[in-house]
Amino acid sequence: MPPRPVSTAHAPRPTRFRIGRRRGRVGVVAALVGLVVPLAAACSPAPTPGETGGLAVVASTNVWGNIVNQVGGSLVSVTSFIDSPSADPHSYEANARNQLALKKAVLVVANGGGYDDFVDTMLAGLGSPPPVLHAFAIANTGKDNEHVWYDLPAVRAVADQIAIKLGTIDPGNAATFTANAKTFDGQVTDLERQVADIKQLAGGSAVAVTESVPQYLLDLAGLKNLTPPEFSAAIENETDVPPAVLASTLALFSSHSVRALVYNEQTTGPQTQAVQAAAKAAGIPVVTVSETLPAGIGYVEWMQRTITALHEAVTR
Amino acid sequence: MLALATDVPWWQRIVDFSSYGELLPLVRNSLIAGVLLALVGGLVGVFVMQRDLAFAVHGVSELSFAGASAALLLSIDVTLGAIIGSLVAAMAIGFLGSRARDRNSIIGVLMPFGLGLGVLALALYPGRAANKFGLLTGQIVAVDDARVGAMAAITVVVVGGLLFVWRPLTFASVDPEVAAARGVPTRALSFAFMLLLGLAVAMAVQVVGALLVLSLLITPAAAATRISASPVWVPVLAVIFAEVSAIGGILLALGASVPISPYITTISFVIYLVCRWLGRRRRQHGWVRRPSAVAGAVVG
Repeated sequence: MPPRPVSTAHAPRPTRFRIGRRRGRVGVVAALVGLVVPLAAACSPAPTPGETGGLAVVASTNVWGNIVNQVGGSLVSVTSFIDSPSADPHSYEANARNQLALKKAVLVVANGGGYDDFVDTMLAGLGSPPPVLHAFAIANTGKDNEHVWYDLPAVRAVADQIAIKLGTIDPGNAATFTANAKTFDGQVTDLERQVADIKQLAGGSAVAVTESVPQYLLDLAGLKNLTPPEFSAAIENETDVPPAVLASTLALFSSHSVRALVYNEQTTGPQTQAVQAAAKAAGIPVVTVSETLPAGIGYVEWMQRTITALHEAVTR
Repeated sequence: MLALATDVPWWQRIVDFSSYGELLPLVRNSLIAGVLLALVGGLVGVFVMQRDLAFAVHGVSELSFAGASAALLLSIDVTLGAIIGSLVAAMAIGFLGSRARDRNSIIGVLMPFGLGLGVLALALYPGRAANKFGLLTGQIVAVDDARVGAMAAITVVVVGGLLFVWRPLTFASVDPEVAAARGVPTRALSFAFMLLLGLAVAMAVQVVGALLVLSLLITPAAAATRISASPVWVPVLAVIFAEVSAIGGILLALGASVPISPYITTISFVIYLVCRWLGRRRRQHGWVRRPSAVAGAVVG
């Protein structure tokens, strides 16, 4: 019994011809798709990274992308995959343009340490992947905290490695890369001095955090993190905070046991907002940190703002 | 700094065919993975519909993460843990819920328990867990040769297994009481099917991600059953719909600077809407409901 629905094999297509007909619910959808597709395709294409001149370098986040820019200057053209504070690198879905950028790149700078594994997955999909620098491996902190862009000496080491790598790719400009890296290192060293000042003035002071993102900076500043580790672990794992842990975290503020709350504004939820509200209610300053650069400023200025805010908060 | 297409209006980011020729060779493996997953999804989906197991697909893919969490605590490989988690979940559902009216409640009972164990394992794990799961979710845009090979092997096993049990499984799915009365081993078949389903889901999640698994395992077969009841045409149409969604989605998404999955999910959803509408129209205009063609084919 050969059934009829041969025509239904083409089901999705004939709807195109139903525009304006009486029974047009699906027709409207098809009409919209039919309109939008050629319209959008006709619009000016997105800029293709790497074609504006300069060595094409890909960075997983705009933090590392900015550091590559500091070292490479106008000799590099950087594409950063993640530049929006609303995207979590731990769970990012790449697109085909990302993959093309990777294929064209002469150098890739990733964070590593499990932070942006999608870069490694994507590189594995390429036949002959470009060389990769993993900041976490260069930092070699001996800890399993992957947020190494808050570890200032590690950032200097990464900048130096970028300069060396760029120098082997483009030997003619090796001296420029080294000089740029040296300038950048100088600026970061200045930041480190300011962090050392915090340590001298307020070393041993206690602070609270929502996540382990700023831990390296707190270590450099000699600040004690009193947040129960179970709290930050639950926030990072996106599970629920045990009630007793939430209570003891909130008590840090009401009892004024901490001088500041260091708050990751990249991933917020009801539980971190409760902590932020408790800090504000107790008059404890909130220092924000994040995982991507705010628009319009570079790495050094970004760190400068955070360090200044931290300084003011803990030396009140 | 050249940020990737953030200063372009969002509607221009959705469809963009510039440098298409350069992009196409990059996704060769993605297309192969899409073809394989659509084949598996279309065929498995037919039984997922007949046995009312859509919820199980979701449960099995969720529980792979619980398996990964447990693996982290027991310090075994996280990827292996995810596969074991999926298989254990699928087998438990198959073992406990061989009768249709039990199945959804069994999944509803098992899933929160399994996810709860996953949360517990994460809480007990002494190190930082957030940076250990990055490799579990696949990137459809970048599938390496090893994953394509694994995908092909799983496809052979699942499709071969399904063809082997196709007729008795159809009988047991459409009319379990009569099938059992005629000596069809319904419990063993339920178990075998769930094992194949678990295998397909576990592998696919790691190559393309959980969202696309749902979109290719459930939606195409659901669309096909809207417009046909034929034992031949439902699987054929389901595979065609799944292939159109997967390949069409990848090709359409190629130039855009947004992820591929929304294109695949949207195409399969539009196909489903069209099929719903066609099915309703046929019913209104005197679709002659044949006596269940599926059961007839098996018995006859």
